[in-house]
This record gives sequence, structure tokens and C-alpha cells, in this order.
Amino acid sequence: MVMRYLGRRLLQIVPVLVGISLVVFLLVRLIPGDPARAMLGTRATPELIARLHSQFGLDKPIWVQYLDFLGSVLHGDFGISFFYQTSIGGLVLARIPLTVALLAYAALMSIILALPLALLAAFRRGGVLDQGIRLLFTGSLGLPAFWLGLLLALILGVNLGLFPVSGAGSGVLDGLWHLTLPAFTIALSITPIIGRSLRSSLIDVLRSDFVTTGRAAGLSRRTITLTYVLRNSLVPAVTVLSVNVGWLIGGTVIVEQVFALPGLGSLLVTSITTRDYTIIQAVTLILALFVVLVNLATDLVYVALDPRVVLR
Amino acid sequence: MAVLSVTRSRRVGRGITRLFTLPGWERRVGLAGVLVVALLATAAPLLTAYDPTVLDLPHALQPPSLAHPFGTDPFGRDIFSRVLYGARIDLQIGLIGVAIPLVCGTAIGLVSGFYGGWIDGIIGRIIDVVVAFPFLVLVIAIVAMLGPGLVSFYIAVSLVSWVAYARIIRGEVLSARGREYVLAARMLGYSDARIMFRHLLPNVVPAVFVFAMSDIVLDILTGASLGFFGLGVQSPTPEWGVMIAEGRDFITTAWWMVAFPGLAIIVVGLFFSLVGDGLADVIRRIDAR
Repeated sequence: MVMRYLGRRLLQIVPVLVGISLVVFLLVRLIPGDPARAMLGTRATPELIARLHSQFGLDKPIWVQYLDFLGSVLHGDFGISFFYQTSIGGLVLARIPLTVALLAYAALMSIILALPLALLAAFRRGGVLDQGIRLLFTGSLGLPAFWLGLLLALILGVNLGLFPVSGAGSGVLDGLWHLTLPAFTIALSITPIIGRSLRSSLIDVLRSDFVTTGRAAGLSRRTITLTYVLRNSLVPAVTVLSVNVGWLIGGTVIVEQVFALPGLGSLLVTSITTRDYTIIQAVTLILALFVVLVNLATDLVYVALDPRVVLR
Repeated sequence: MAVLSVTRSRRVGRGITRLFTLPGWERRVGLAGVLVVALLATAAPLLTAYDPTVLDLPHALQPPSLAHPFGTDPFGRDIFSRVLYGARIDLQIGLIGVAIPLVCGTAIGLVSGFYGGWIDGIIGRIIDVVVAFPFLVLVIAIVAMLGPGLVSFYIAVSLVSWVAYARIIRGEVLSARGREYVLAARMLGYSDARIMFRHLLPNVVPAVFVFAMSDIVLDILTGASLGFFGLGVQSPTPEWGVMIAEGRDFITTAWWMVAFPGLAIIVVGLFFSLVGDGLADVIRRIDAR
């Protein structure tokens, strides 16, 4: 049953993957003028331009170029970076662990921040506490992550000296310590989005029959919350995180830049100044694939978290 | 026909007054706030004596004072007037960045939901692909290809965020397609275009306006992030993200350079979010009736 479901889900993903590869392939077509000339900038000589043309197959028909692109992507071969003079595949691969760690850390923190607030608001629905929490969420929707990061770095990092403000550190513990402030920044900036959705899903959870039954059976509010509501709020929490994984990634791109972390996001941004268009393509592709993977994994996690989920 | 257009313009007028008179403080506070910000941006030259781009080196890096309520930057430029003039740019980013995708996405969603079939199939697949990309990453990638600047930003945002509008409208059209008023219009022999734009559109569009309010906030944040990265509006033009980037290296000595433009983004974001929440509330109440 699970295998058949997994198979069908994987088949559904294929057209999306093809579409993603097509979008990423077409990205470089947006460069005004000759991409080879744009890539080389002031270094452009007729020989170099001709070499790039043949390297990227720019002299072939566009569908051949796409198939070539697809072929090399499937082999994980993105060519050589002009700026870094190493293989782009290796460069990107080396940056993945930090970004994934930051994403996971930030996701965990945002749930820790948002879940209690959303639970409180849902319990006191319509009351003063609910109104206050909702206003807090609404008021922080426009919180710019780069601004927040700079201020947190100033206050918690520079003034109080609690956390390092740049670099990734070395080793697991030191690395986590270095990622704490960046992850906190992302978590704070995404908490309003996650908290608002969680609040409305939790209101539905609190309306469920099992809560009414528990109350009727004379269970204390504490027992109902801790043993039933909390467990049942995990599914909405995972859903909300999975739906918003794109925002989390956006936050990572910004925060990596603010805290000088060598992840995929800072690679993306610095590659713009170095005109490494292929790196931009590779990072965009990897991050889109990551979203697809997370959404797939979420569907599978439902089954583990909630035995009532019916596979179709 | 004349009678029809009079009643319509009256209805629009009543709709706009209702935005203020209907109960619900969120929407009213939000709208008032947005209007005040727009007014401040328009009246900027009257409100400040300082030109936002003229250098005044003797008064560099002054902390907030009566003469410079938000302080000055290393070039002696008045931060208060830069924040005020910045509102012009950032409001424009929010409005244009939403208007184009709203119109395109709504039209595409209408056609997709109304006709269904292969058109809907293709549009649905395109939407699936675009939403797989993290919004900011795809916008940055497109701007990187087109070259930095506001025009590139608008193109990028339009290419990416129409899908959100198309998705919402498509869903609304699918549930409205079988309603009596649509069937009645069909039986009267009205053209598809007339049914879509005169009958369906007014009924499905409110949901899009609620989303547009949060999208304005998102666009201003994205525009400011790009400005911060040096990919959007270029210095010395006062834009809040650019200003925060300019203040970055002075954050330990001149916190006001970073603090005030950021607060401006938060305040504007709050007002638009309040309008969105309030509108959602109104729609919920109308639907419940």
C-alpha cells in the first residue's frame, strides 16, 4: 500500500521536475544580449567567447541545448566555474550541509516559538490574549529578516557578546553555536506566518470530537492539551512548515548573507557579482528540488503521525 | 445602459465608503494608516527642509536631534527625509509589484477555471512548477539574469507571483461555475467573455484583494531585500532596503541609520496586513449571511 502510494506520488513529481529543469534552463535566456559576453564581462575576447559558445552549445538548436543541459544535470555536471576555477557541482555540494542545517534549526525554532503562542490564542479564541497574539503576529508580518539579523547581531552578538555574529565555526557544537543567531533570525521572521496558520488549524483541532469527548469524560484541560491536542497539532505544524518551506529558504538566503555563512544562499548572491550564471542556475535548481523533496517527505510523515490518513 | 453605469458607479462609491463605515477596527485603522503614509510620501517636500540626496559633510553621522529627528548618515544626509522620500519608492514597489501579477493572474485564473479541459491542464502544470521554486530565490535568479534595478524586479515579480492569483481565482471560479447566476447568464446566451468578466469576476475577485494586501507586504520586503543586496534600487536613491545596507557598516556607531528605515518597513507592513485581515473578516461575514 505504502509502496504503491509512493510510486504514484513519484510519478506525479516527474512533470514538475521536467518543468523545473525547463525554467532553470530558460533562465540564462533572460540575459540581454550574448550570455557568453555577459559572463566574461571585461575579460571577453573573441577566442574566449567562441570557447564559451561551444562549451555551452550556444551554436546548437535550442532543444538540443536543453537535452544537453538535462543530460549534464542528471550527471550532476554543471561545468567549471569561471570565478572559482573548480567544478560547480562540487562547489554547490559542499555548501548544501550548512544550508540544510540552518533550515532545520530555523524550522525547529519557529515551531518552538509559534506553537505555544498559537495554542494559547486558539484556547482563548476571541479573548484579550488571542487578540494580543494575533496583533503581535500581524504586526511582525512586515519584519525584514536582514534588518532583524543586523539588530540581533548588534544587541546579542556585539553588545552582549552572547553569540558569534559571522562565519560558520568548526565542529558540530561550535557550528550549532554559530548558527543559533541566524536560525533565530529566520525563525522570528517566519513565526507570524506559521503562527497565523497554526492558530486557525488548532481552532479546528479544539473543535474535534475527541476534545469534546475528553471534556465530557471529565479529563482536565491539562491532560487534554498535553496528551491529545498537542499530538494532534503536530500534523498541522508539519503541514504549515512544509507549505512555507519556500519562505524558510528565502529567509536562509537573506540571513546567510547577513551573517557571512558559506551556504547556498550566499553562493547565489555572490555569484551575481561574479557573473557565474551557471552557479545561479545550479543553486536555483537545487533549492527547487529541495522544496519538492520536502513536500514529498511531508506526505509520508503524515502517515507516520496520523494513522487516520488514508492513502489514495 | 446609462442607468446601468450610474448604478454601477454608485455601487463602487458605496463600496469605498463602506470600507470605512463597516464595523471592524482593523480594516479602518489599516486603511487610515496606509492613507497617512501615502500622504506623507506625497507631501515629503513640504515636511522636510532637507534634500534626501544632497551631501552635507560637516553634519555627518549626527545622532537623532530636533534638527535631524532620525539623525544623519556619513554623507550628512538627513535620515528622516530619506525615510520619507523612501516611502515613495517602497509604496511604488508594493503597488506595481502587486498590480501586474494581480491583473495577469486573475485573467489567467478566470480562463483556466471557466474553460477547464486542456487549457486548465496546461495552466495547472505551469502553476505547479512555479510554486515549486522558493519565491525569493527565483526572483533573485531572474533579476541576476536581467541585471539589477527596479524594472528587472517588476519583471521578476510578475513572472513569479501571478501564479498565486491564478490559483486563488481558479479555485473560486470552479466553485462558482455551477451557481444559478452563471447558468442564468448562459441560458440568456451571453458570450463567454461577458459571463467571465461581468458575472464571475465581481463574485470571485474579493478573495484576491485579501491576498493582495499580504502580497504588498511581501513585495515591499522582497524589494527591500533586493535593495539590501544591491540588486534593486541603486544608491543614492532613498529606498528603505538600500538605506539599511548603507547603515550596515556603521551599525555599532550609528544605529539610527539602520533602525529607522527598518521600522518604516514594519509600520507599512502592519497597516497593509491590518487592511487584509479586516477585508477577510468582511468577506467571511458576507459569506455567512
